[in-house]
Amino acid sequence: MTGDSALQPLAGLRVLIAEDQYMIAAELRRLLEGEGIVIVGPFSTVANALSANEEPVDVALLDVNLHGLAVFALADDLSRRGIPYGFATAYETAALPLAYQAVPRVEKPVTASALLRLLGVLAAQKGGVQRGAVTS
Amino acid sequence: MTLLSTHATTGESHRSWNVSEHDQPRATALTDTIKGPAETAAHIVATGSVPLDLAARVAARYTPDHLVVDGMQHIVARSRGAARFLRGTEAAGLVLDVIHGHLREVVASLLRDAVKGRLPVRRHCTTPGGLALEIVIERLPQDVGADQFVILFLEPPRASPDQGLRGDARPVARQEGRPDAGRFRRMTDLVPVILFTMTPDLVIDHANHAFCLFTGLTSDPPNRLVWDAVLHPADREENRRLWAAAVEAGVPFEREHRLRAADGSWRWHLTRCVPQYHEDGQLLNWLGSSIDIHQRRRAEARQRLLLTELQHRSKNILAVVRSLLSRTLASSTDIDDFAAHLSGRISALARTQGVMARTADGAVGLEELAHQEVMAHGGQESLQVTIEGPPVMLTDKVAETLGLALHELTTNALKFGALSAPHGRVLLTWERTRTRADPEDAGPPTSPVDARSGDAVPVCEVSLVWQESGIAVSPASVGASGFGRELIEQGLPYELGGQTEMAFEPDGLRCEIRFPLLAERDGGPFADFPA
Repeated sequence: MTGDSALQPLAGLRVLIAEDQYMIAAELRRLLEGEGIVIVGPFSTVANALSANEEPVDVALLDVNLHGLAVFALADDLSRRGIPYGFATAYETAALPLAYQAVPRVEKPVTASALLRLLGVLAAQKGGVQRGAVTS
Repeated sequence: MTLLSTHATTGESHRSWNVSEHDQPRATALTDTIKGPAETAAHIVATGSVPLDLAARVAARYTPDHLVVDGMQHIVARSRGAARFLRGTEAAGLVLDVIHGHLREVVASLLRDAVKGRLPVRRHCTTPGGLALEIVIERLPQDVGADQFVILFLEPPRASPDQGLRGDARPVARQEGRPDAGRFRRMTDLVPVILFTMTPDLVIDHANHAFCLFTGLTSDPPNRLVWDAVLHPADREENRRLWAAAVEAGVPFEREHRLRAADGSWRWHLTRCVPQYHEDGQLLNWLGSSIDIHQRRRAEARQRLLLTELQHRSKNILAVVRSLLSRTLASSTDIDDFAAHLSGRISALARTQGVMARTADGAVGLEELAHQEVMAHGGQESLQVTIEGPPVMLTDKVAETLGLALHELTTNALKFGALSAPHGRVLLTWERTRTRADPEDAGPPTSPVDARSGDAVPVCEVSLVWQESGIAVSPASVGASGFGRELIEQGLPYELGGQTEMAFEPDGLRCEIRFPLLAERDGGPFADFPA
């Protein structure tokens, strides 16, 4: 599976996950931990994720709709902190507010290859330098 | 206004370039509508001769608009009113270069026929503004202009005052001061649709009763209103752009936009305006109407939202099914075990979806959810299972997970627990407990939404107990399904933000689930964000 993430080696990458459904969050965790990725969370609400903003994070993977609420408050907070994020969502791009339509996304149901590709893109945005400390 | 009568009148009069004998009695009869010195009218009657400027004005009114073109199709002369059939300010040049786009094809084909010598040639057409025209091309008499053609723009007769504004885009005479204007206004006041007229610079100079009623503005005496007074700020720019295009092309304006009601609210309207021209081709005014289409717009918006949510939910449930599949696969001993468990879990999801589909807002009653799960497995409530609790409505995701948890509890009880023996009993009860955020509690009222994250804060807590009895607990029943335990002990707290407790008491399993109930929000998850 690592072959899919040719852009960046993903082992050691710290990925924050916001996903309100346990079944999906647990599957994401199994999948990503199998790649050596470190999971921050997963968080089922925006409030929980925001209250953990002391934790070091490289990139973030966000479900757009958390229990009927938009994840954008968290997305904006990540932007301010310079943390690249992507959406894992069942919403069509056109259904999202204009300001978030350019955010990279994978569509649910998520496939492993699409997910790892997205994380590779986000990790490249973040740059390899900062997370060198984690991997070494 | 039959075209037949048009031909009868104009067909005779246009041959003469001045007031013909035929027209003179009519000219005399109508002098009261021509604003000139009273003596002039008397002069005509008395002497039968016509002063030059009056002759020109009468000619302008009773001869059709026309262009004179030479053999090379250059315009060499035109009537004043013909300018409205030409583009912009261009007055000379090749006729096909300067004539309005919507007339070019008709005129070009007529000119081709004219060159072939089959004269006169004529064709009916309608301008985008709704003006019915007959275009006729004739050769000028040799003594007037050799090798020259005249292009005539014949219109149906003008509306008489009695006809009011029946012909919407035809030239009409000014209404002021006519006895019929009052009657016309009274009629417009009866219509439950906003009607108004605007000056060429788009100032509302008359509005009917419906307009005043809706906007709370008065028009008697007529107010001079600019659109910005009633138009939603977000719609103004696009409105200006469309107006500029409509004015430029001389075509009707049509647009859906928001207008401000007297109470300050905004309601969607469909506004249509058509231009009216003076007989000399100058824009007289615009006639407009606005129909309230707010209900339709709301229904459309709601439908869009529902469609989006439907697509989202169907893909999301597939994602859940996929996770279920991989999780079930990981904990299955063989393919039959896998198939049985997966099928049972998908059925539980389907039942929850079914309950959701039966309620208008997609909310699920806890009691119905519990009944569904127990009944689906052949459990007979009256004999072995008791379900009891106050009404609690669950959101879709909470219902999905709780339904799955109840499914796991039921299948476990059927295989190893209280429902595996006839004397076993299950008591499923729940109660609502108030939390601090409950408005009935003492203390300052709190907002139901967290200020920072926008998350809903709980309005109350639900405490649900699954209590089995009547059987001796065998160690085999403990944690029979790894997935069931994981879902109850980890999944429910994760999703519902509550606590769960599973205990194996002397005569059966006891499972307690406590979770906060969140306030519902309207308008979908993106209601607060610009689309």
